[in-house]
Amino acid sequence: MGFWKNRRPPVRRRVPLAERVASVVVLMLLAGVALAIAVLGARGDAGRFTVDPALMAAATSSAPDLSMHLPQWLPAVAAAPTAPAPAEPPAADDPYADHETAAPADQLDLAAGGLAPIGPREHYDADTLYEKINGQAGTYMAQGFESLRCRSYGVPGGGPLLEVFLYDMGTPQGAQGMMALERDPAGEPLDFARGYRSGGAHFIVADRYYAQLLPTEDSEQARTAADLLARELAGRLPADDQAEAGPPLPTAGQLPNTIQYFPTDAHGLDFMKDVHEADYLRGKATLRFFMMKPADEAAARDAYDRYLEFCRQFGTVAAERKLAGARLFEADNFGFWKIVYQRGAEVGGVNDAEDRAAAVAMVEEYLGGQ
Amino acid sequence: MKKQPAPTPHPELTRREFITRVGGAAAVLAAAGGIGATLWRREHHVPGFEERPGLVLPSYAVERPTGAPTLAIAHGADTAKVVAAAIGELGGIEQFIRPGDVVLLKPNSGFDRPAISGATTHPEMLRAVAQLVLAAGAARVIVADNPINSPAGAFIKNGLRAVADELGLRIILPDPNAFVPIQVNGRTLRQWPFFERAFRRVDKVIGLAPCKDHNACEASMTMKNWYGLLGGRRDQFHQSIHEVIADFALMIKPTLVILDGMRVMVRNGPTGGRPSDLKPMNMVIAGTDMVAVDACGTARMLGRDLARIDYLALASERGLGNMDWKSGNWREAQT
Repeated sequence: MGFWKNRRPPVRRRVPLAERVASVVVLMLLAGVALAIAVLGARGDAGRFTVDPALMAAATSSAPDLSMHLPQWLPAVAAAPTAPAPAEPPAADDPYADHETAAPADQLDLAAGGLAPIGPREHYDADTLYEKINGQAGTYMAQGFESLRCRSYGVPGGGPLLEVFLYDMGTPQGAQGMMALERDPAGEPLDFARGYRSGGAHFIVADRYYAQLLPTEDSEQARTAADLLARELAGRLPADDQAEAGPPLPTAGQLPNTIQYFPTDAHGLDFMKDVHEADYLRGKATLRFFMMKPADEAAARDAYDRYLEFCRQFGTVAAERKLAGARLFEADNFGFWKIVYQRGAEVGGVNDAEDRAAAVAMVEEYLGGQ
Repeated sequence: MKKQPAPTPHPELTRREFITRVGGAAAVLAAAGGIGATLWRREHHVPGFEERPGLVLPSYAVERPTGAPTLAIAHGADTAKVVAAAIGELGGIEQFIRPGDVVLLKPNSGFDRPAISGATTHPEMLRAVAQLVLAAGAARVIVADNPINSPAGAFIKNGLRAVADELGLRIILPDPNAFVPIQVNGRTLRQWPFFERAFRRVDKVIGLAPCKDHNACEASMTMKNWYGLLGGRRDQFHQSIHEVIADFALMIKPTLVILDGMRVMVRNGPTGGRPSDLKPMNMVIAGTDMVAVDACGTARMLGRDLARIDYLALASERGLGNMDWKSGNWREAQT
């Protein structure tokens, strides 16, 4: 058969020069790679694979297990002298220890009344907060939460434990707003800090911090211990220059436990920042009054103008007028009324009211009374 | 020296040779393709790496007499008596637990918070139910939950460990090897790490949940309680929390669920922290239909509109329970 008779011989006797050169180049490259692996491997950087504590803190799925400390600690405290326990320096390799991130580490080295800390300080950020407070995390995040540090304390000789939660809410408004949101209406105001006590639990706001001291039982011993610890902690928090009066909202007719603070995106609008809101009862209508106090009048004017433009675009502006030195508009937005004013460096009004007349009356009353 | 012969010039390829070569190559390709097609199995193309179905839990519900009540409400100040009364109205613990059963009690131990906070199942509730189950002849009682933060510490701080130690209950704590994927095939929850170790050799499952306000899903009751069996980054479910909670009614068919309304967290849930967050209600609801129990708890304990709790409607629409609890067979007792 011609195919088998005429096929090329299996071995080439002549290899072109270009092919020989290319082969040598490929072999040299392979040898170079092998040499590089050998050299770099011998001089490897051990630090390349060491654990970064900061990354660990962000990535690990659970905080240290308190149980490993509890059984050892409980008898130790029972036998402990009443002298304050020495403060523990944060361990260098403890990813949950404070690393001078938001506040001085010694804020949670409390020892009032001979209370002794149990276990390490715990630290949570926005990614890990849910591990500590689970479904409650969303509320804190909405108020500008940045970090949580907490620690447990025990009373020498046994008895109740105390949990201290120190939230860094990013801004004084966030801290204040969070406390207002959770506030016990029957809580007793503190005489040594801005805050209140509810049973044995103490709640303190100072600057950007919101602290909670929660005893594990409602006893006289627990109340006394919590009070001592709260006083010590209050002394370690930054000076609080915020007004005692609380959020800049009208107080008359304000329904309890309805204050909310929105650091950003109030009403779903990106220019509405640092907004406080609360509910008010006017006749049979419940109205949501809001207020924002930007840095200056120009910023307030800008926010008002943008709010007005939004309402023109997504609703009907039924009225624009001036009243008591303020600009004011009334807008129907998807069936709800927005009555918004701007006066000086202040923007406020009633948001999403069903009763237009009641909302207008409330804003007019507020502006007229100021 | 013998002279090498000059290479023979390669002749031109004839048509016959071309057709022969192309035909040969085509035959080799066809044979290779045929063999590949014979061996190819779409669903099992990489042996050992195929997608495996996850765990499917059996139903832990028990056969009960026709017309037996599915929900019972009991009132009183003594937790043990109220729990006994509620279960008594359902027909007694013997209807649910047989001698020799291995019983899993699933409390809410989700936080390392003290019992007085009301954030977790109260130790007295665990004690009351465990004593009834032991008295019915249970061979072993297991207590398990997956608090993300400090599991062992949570059981100590919320007081459940002390009751377990006192009554000889076995607490199973989570660790990475305790989880296997569960196959739910729900609308949101399909396959997810599940605390399977707690369910090994278990005959009956009872959920013990405190009734709480919850800022993400409005109310945390017996359905939400199963959330504690999930592993992984379960916080991501908070984006579609109602759908996931409704899927729990598909995931597990418990023997019984008990909703603790002795002190109800009416605000600042799910953690609370202030005594004013809790309202004494002195009430317990027990039942076999967790959707009905939660609907009843919403109305009778939290005093809220059922329409605010989306997961109840989602589960009810899918036939996973009956949110119209009053239309079922229910009883009420005072101790």
